[in-house]
Amino acid sequence: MIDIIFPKNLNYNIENFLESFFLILLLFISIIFTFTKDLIHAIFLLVFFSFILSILYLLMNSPDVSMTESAVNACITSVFSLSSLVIIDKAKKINSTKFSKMAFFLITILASIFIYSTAFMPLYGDFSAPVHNHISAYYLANSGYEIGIPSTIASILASYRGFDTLGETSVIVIAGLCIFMLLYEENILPNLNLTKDIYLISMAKIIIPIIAIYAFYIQIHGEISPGGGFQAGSILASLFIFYGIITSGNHLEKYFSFNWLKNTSIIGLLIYIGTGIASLYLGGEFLDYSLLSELDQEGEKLGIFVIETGVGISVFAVITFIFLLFASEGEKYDREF
Amino acid sequence: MDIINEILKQISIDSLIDILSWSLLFYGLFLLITSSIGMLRMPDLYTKIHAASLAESLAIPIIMISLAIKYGANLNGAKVILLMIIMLIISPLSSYSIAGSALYCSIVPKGNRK
Repeated sequence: MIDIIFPKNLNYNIENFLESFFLILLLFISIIFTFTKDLIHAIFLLVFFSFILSILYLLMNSPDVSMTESAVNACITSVFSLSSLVIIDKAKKINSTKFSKMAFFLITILASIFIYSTAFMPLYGDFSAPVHNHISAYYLANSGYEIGIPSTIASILASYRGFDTLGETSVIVIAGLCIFMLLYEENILPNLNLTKDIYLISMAKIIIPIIAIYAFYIQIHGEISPGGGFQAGSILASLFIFYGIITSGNHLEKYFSFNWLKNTSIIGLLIYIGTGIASLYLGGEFLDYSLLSELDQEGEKLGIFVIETGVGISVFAVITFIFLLFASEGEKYDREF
Repeated sequence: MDIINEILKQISIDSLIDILSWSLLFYGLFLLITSSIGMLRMPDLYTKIHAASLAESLAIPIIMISLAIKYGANLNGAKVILLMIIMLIISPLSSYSIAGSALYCSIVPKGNRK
């Protein structure tokens, strides 16, 4: 019986036990998640799920993904979904859902295009997929002297697969602009009438510098340690979300107006595209950073640093922007928190 | 006296450090179990927060101190101490804000209904 539970040919170390424990926990959470009817419970279960997922990523030796998961999914998505619940309640009260046939038609076409394009993706676990053949071996073997930075993940993300990352950044910026088009009204102002608390504000004075230093550390050390633009941008944005929740959001809107944030997110994307156009201008291919300097490796380092900065700026701007839009109040509705 | 002297000769600094760190670790684990029993048994939101904050602000720093003693004076120990300081700043803040927002949403403490 013991041999069935603990087979002798397996390798028993603490990481295997931890991994299996957390995977079983994930299974339980997802079972509970399917049977909850309260939306707030569902949000907190999702937060718990992604937190455990980030620990699992860390156990599987991928600190970059784990950092992204804990910063974006566990922290920022929870804030967004909680504040969207408030908006859903308001929309139910107003009962002003208009059905537009044109929008329905366009969305159906777009969705069918996306679903059709997933048919061309390689299947899960397909061993003839390019990822499992020569590509990862090539990256691991040549990243050291072609790119010349210690973090292979940063070199794959920013240099080898730079075009994909450009796509991801533009998707984020477009999502922010779409939410702007949906929720923006004239004379919109943040409305978070929480009690102003001396304890919270004085603790925020201690925490905010620590978070800011951490975010800039991750941003600048993107190529030698785990982290990069996405993580740093989301951590910096979470700082401002924290500040906006503690001191009511009007304070935040004084410093960052909606138009400023919208323009900043686009500037971040333009920095990325501008790096690619600069390499085109110098006579290479799009996003070929090695031409930016006389030495190939120096050019790659410079290019990766610049595009990470662009990604960080646009991610920070979009996330702060979405939070401000969710927590704001226009003239159309009489919102009360 | 001879026996005590012999025992003292055999005890080195390393074993003292080991004893200290292990005892702190078990003390922290005891506090964690206590607070989780409290979270299950307490009748009310506010008392549940009180039980949970025992784990956050006492048990986990004690476990981290024991880990720092075990690592010694190097980079890992410094990291654990830094984490402990951040933990001590943030966890009272979070439990305070949960309790404050519960009061704001007018959740009445148990036994205080009029």
